Amino acid sequence: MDRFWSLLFLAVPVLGLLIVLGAVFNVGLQNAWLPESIGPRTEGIDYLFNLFHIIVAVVFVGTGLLLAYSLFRFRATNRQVASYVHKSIWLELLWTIIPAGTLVFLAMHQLPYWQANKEDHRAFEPAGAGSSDLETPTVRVVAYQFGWRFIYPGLDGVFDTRDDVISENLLVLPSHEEIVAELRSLDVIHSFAINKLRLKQDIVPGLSPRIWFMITQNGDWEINCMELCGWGHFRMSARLRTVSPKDFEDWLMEIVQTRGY
Amino acid sequence: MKSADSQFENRESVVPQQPGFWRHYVFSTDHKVIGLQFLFSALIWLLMGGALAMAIRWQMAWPWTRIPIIGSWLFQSEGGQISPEFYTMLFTMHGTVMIFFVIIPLLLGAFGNYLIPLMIGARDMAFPKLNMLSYWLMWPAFISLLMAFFAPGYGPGAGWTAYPPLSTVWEASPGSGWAQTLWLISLLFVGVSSILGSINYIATILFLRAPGLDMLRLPMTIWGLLITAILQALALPVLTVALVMQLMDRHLGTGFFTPDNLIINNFETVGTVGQPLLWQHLFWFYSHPAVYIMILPIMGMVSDILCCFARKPLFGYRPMVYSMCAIAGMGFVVWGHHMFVSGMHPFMGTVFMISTMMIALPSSVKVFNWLATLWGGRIHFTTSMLFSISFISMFIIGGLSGIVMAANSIDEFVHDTYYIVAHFHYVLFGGTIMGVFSALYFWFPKMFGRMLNETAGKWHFLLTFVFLNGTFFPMHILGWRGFPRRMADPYFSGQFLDLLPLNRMITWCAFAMAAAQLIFIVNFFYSMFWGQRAGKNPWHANTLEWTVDSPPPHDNFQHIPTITRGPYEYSNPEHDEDYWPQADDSAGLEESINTPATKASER
Ligand code: HEM
Ligand SMILES: [Cu+2]
Ligand SMILES: [Cu+2]
Repeated sequence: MDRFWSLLFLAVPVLGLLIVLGAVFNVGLQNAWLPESIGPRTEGIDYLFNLFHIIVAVVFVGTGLLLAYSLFRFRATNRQVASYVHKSIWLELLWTIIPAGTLVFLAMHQLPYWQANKEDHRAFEPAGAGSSDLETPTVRVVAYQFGWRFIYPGLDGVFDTRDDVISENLLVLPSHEEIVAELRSLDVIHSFAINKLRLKQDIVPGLSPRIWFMITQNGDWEINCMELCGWGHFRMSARLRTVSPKDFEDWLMEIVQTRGY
Repeated sequence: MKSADSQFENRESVVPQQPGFWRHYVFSTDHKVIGLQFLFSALIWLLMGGALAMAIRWQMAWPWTRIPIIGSWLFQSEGGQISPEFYTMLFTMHGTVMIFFVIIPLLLGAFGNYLIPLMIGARDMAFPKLNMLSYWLMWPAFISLLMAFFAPGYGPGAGWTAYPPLSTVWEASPGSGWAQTLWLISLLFVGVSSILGSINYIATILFLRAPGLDMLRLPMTIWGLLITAILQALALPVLTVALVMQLMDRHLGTGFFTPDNLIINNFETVGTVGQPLLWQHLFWFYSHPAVYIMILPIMGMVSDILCCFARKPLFGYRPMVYSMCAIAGMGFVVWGHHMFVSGMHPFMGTVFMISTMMIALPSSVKVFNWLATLWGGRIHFTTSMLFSISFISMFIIGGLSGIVMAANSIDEFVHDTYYIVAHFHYVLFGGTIMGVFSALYFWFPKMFGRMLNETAGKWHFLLTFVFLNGTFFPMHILGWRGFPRRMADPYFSGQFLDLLPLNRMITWCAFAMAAAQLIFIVNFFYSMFWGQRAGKNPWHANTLEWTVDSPPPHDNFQHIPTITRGPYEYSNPEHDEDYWPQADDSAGLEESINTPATKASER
């Protein structure tokens, strides 16, 4: 019976690894790894995601095998007496320094990606404060229970004027252009998330965070709310349509003209 | 300092009075009775929380379909199916119940109470009346949470994190009415109860230790409980204050957490200048330390159990103690990792990323020390031991996914997906609950004087272990596809429809795991009355609780023992037996007749 139990714990790293490999290489499990990518933003994040999982998998398998092996080798039915050992400074140092080094490396290594994704554009000015020296966003996103409103500055390029263009639950954007979006919430906390860009930003009422991204494909994608916002949270999704920059201009013009400004 | 003995001198001379039924079983000040009261209340709530989880899984596998049998009775108006409001209640209550009514009361209330005086050689807690109060303060909490289920809107629906303004504005959600108020009141009572309890534990451990039991001879269980109690005493006041502030926002119009000019469901907030981020900071300032509150005691217990069944001293006692202290200390500076995408300044995201990465270090030191403890042992695969080993195995998985999420760029992607759900279930179910089972199989003989049945125990372990992984491992896959948590119908947008079969598989495993607990329930009650008699020290363990009768008499020790060695003297070559109890003299160490420890492994 003792052998059975050691084998059971051997199954953890072995099966775990097989499942993950199956997911990554689409063997047995279809579409079980990262979703497809539609913009350059995902490159760094996916790279980190893979790197972290490789390192973590090595530790997972290594410790799992060690555990199963000790259970097998030191089972009571196989041994007369346990060894009387209390400590070892060297081992202690070894397994403090190596993980510490790995963790410091991981922390430092991923720092620049966060800075590039979240800090570089001075994204987080509180509403009103000093917003004059921020560039005008391409679009203002207003979240409410349970839908999305997208406001474009219109032809004059200025928000809160008569020619603002409003679109409900459909965000049309030019592809291959960097988009700056300003997020606001009318009521409770929501979260603006595009899975295929690995993009997520909570929208806390009273703050107006900014995000920026570029999409390099034309097509229709999903925007989801990813922060619990009430009973209808699940149905708070919107369509994101990317078109060529020219089509985008045309789309805007058409709306402006039909309204007759 | 007065010795522990003298504090009890007057008590000893008094002829022990026979307390009546009420004083004995209900309003008792005996730490053992209070411990068992906590144990039974928490186990009942565990059933409740489990039932809520099953309903969640039902909705994930067969959204908007009639629940067989109980559906028509629960939701007559919706035709027997879960409604969105009901679903928000389900996960809100599941989280709340499991954290505040199950895990924390089990670890501190049940095991803390039962074990601390016994393991340090004291007759009771330092403040027995305070101890009783801390149990009875749980009842208002139980009652108000039960009432919240029946409040309009099906019950609170803002998640266990209760982010405002969803939670503070009555109009924001059907569950944000009286249900939310009752939820807040309930947690307020839990908070006060735990603060009282933790002060008591700290005082007891620091001042009532038997002579000779200096701090570095304490079993790891006691270290874990001591550090946890300190964490609670420091962190809980913050949560308590935040709860009061949220109550004031809701009833006195203060607006600490509610910004001006919001229009929520046709209601406009006027004249408030608060910020929801403030709540998030206060909440996580408590709730991150809370996740360590939910694991440090079990880390201690697992350390003791591993040594006992590996018949080997704990490897690296001091590093184990120091790493616990490090986890507790650093636990106060990482709360921001729950808020990476909240809108907090991104520079703070960097700071919290670094501190979070570093907190994985003491955890990994502990894992390696456990592995080294097993290495070279003589391992007896009792049920208790199997649960403890699985604790290590599962905690590794949870800790590693923690490191992945600590990278804030990655967390931006996986935040609020099932990756998080997988992470915390690996640490809280795979870790804490498996550890609790281990501790129950280990100390049940002490608590009730009889052994739990080993064969049933092993089936219970095997099925729980297999289906636990079947339930939670695939959640990583859901997570790295971006499958959202807390959504009544994640398939609504069509994006995740292909994940439905995987979700069904998870649900089947969850049902099977729940069913496996029946074995435990039957075993528990059967063994309580008809199990094999345990004797004083069935596992041949070293710590003090095994020197007294099972169950221990009212004041625990006939005379306070004197401690001559540490708790981990297993297989010491200078001693004939492979264990060497902490106290030599002692209230009778006659050999217990049966030795299930050795017998069980031969099976
Ligand atoms: C190795 C150490 C650990 C690290 C680095 C770590 C890291 C993290 C991070 C970064 C998050 C936030 C994820 C997100 O919401 O985006 C998180 C969530 C969580 N962790 Fe851990 N964790 C560790 C250990 C633990 C332990 C030991 C427990 C409990 C016993 C725990 C319980 C939780 C819970 C309950 C949540 C989710 C809270 C919620 O959003 O509802 N973690 N962890
Ligand atoms: Cu939402
Ligand atoms: Cu945390």
